[in-house]
Amino acid sequence: MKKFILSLIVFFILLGSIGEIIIRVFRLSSDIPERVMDEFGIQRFKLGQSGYYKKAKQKWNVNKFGWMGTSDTSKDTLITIIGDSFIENIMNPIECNQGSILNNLLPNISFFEAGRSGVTFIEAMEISKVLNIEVEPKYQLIYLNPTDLPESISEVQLYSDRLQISIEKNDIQTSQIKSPGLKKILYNIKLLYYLYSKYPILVDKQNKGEIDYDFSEREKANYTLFRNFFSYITVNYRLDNLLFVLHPDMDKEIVSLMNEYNLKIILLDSKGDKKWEIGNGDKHWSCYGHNRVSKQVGDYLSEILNQ
Amino acid sequence: MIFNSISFCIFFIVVFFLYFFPLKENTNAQNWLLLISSYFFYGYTDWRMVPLLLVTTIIIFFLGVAIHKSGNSKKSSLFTTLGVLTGLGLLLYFKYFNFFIDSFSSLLNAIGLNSNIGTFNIIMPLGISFFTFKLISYIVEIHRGKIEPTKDFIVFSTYIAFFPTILSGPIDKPNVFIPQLQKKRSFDYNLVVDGCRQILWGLFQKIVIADNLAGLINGVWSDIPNQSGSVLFITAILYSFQLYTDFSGYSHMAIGVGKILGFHITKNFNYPYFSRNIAEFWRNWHMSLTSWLTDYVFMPLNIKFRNFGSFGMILAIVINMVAVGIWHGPNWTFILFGLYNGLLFIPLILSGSFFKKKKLKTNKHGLPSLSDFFKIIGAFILVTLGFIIFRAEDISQAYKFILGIFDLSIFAIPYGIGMAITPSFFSILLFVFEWYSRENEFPLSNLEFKINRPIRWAMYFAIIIAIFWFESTEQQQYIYFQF
Repeated sequence: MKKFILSLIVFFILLGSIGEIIIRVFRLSSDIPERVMDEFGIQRFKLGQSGYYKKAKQKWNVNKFGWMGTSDTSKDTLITIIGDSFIENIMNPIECNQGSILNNLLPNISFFEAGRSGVTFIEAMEISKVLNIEVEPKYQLIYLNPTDLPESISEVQLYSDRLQISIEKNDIQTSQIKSPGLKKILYNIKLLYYLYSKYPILVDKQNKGEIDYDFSEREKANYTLFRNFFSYITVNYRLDNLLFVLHPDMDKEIVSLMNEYNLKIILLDSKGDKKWEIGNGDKHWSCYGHNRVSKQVGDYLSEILNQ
Repeated sequence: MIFNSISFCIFFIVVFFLYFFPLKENTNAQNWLLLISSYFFYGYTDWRMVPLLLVTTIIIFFLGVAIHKSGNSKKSSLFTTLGVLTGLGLLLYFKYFNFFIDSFSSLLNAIGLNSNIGTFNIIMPLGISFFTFKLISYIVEIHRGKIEPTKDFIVFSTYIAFFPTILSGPIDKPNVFIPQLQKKRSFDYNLVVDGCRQILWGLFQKIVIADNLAGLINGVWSDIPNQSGSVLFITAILYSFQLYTDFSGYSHMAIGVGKILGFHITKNFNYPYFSRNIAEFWRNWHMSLTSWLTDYVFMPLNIKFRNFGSFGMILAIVINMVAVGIWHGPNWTFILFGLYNGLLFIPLILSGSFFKKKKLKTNKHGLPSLSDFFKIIGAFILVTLGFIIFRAEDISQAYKFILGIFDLSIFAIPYGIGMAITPSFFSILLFVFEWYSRENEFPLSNLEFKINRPIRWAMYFAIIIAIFWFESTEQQQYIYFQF
């Protein structure tokens, strides 16, 4: 038995080393940037980091504002793009990011992305507040999926690692970076991260772009909270330059609520096209999906910019 | 729970450590552990079938004891009949009942009697075709006096529910497996390493080849009218590869898991695609099933029909092969598949080559003679034709597929099969590898006697990397789980 276990250990150490080399050489998993908490309680990426997207030749770089992705601020008209992992888009090459595709569609406009996995609706609002000061955009696009609103409210479900709002206390609750040491190990040992993201049993919902939210009768009790949420944001944030891009699966009653509060929305329509998703249990948009989304957003932007 | 899943990996690691550490060399405790883990494994997919398995096991266990006690009396025959009927009854009810109702209803409609007999919503228990055959063989072997019933219920129920084999075999005979459960089992380094290698080989077959072929094959089968003859022809060949690598991959994994736990499970495949005729093929394909049917269907029939000479043997073979077909499921395609294979035996029986078991001869380069080569190709084409019937949802679909092949478009460029290039390449590699190691139990066995450790390990690494690299994005269910 001893001989077997010893052989097995040596075998797996060698195999692991070879696997690590192969994953690094062929870039089979994306490099994940380290996060830091800023003075506003928003998690940004540590400055000066760079790495590779999965199977891509281009590098990602963290810009001076602590975000990845497109960060063009050179043109007269600047539009920011705020969202969660759909906007961070680490699973696709950078040319499939919303900022890159929109820039191809509207070359006279600068696009600036502020996307990070786990961003809630309320955190997106907080980010928009900061970006209004930092980059002074003409418009801000906030991409939302069905889970972003319920996950924003601590009374619905408390998440210590996400920025939330307590509707009852009328108070923003900042997040904590969960297990930073463990994450550092996971992101630095590529083989571990490769296995972690490849096998669904080990992957949490957030990393799979989970967008299903049960708006059943029980959940509808939360509509008062949702209504109060919208009341809160109309009072506390600048809304005139915000455009909310809603996932095709967004709950109809939430859409109605947003209309009721006169929020400018772009409700995406996938027409049930499954190619929008990466697949294999991952509901993030594929490059095809991002292109379809950008087309719909681009059409809307052209319209309002020409008015 | 399937072998190539994280959940099985965790499950098996736990079983392995309990089996060889706290329960080390305590046969009784090890059997308890195997029984509990087997029921957990079986119930993991659908716990509703666990009581059925348990109750049938109890019935057969006591019938076995009763048969033995009754000696050669009429009672013994009665208990045996009861036992066989219990096994067959399970199969008939869960697997074939709706088929009979449906066929009967169609017959009534065909003769002008309007019938509207509804079918039942019956859930077929996983592995039913495999564990009922074990139950039946246990009863029959006791009746024949070949084995004595075990007095240990744990041993018997572990034999029936043994987790590596319960879902898709191989179907172990009681005289082979039960004594292994009664024997002291300690950690055997060579057997465990061999088991690991066999699992690796099975994973390679299933993940790299079978799963990657599945997408293309399913796509073509769902759109036969729009496919050229060349695409259909290539798909038929690829399906033969898929079916083989899927099922033999599973069998290798099951045998490998068994070896790690100290068991020698019946071999299920012996390089069947190197067979030179259909008889040889069926001696090497799904061997545990064919051996079971030979013992309990063919041999008794052959004895019964012996006065009819060659005709009697043909009849016994055809009935046996139809039984092979029906075993796969309640569909006319399987009956036709069995009949087709049975009929292919006729020229062999009439020419006398059915009884000849000649070894493959090779030249100095290790290649077969030209005549053997053409025989192998011929047998493979006949088998592939049979597998078209096997794969089809109904006979008309099989007919359309075969008709589509025998079309002038067979000479057309086969567009749209690009995704089959990688698994086809690995299939060819597999067959080359199999050819040169066909004297061994499986291609990776006994490697320690042939090549040194660095090269051997490099080979294992290459296989593991191929498994991860070429793993299909969509995990495919094992084809034989449906049977």
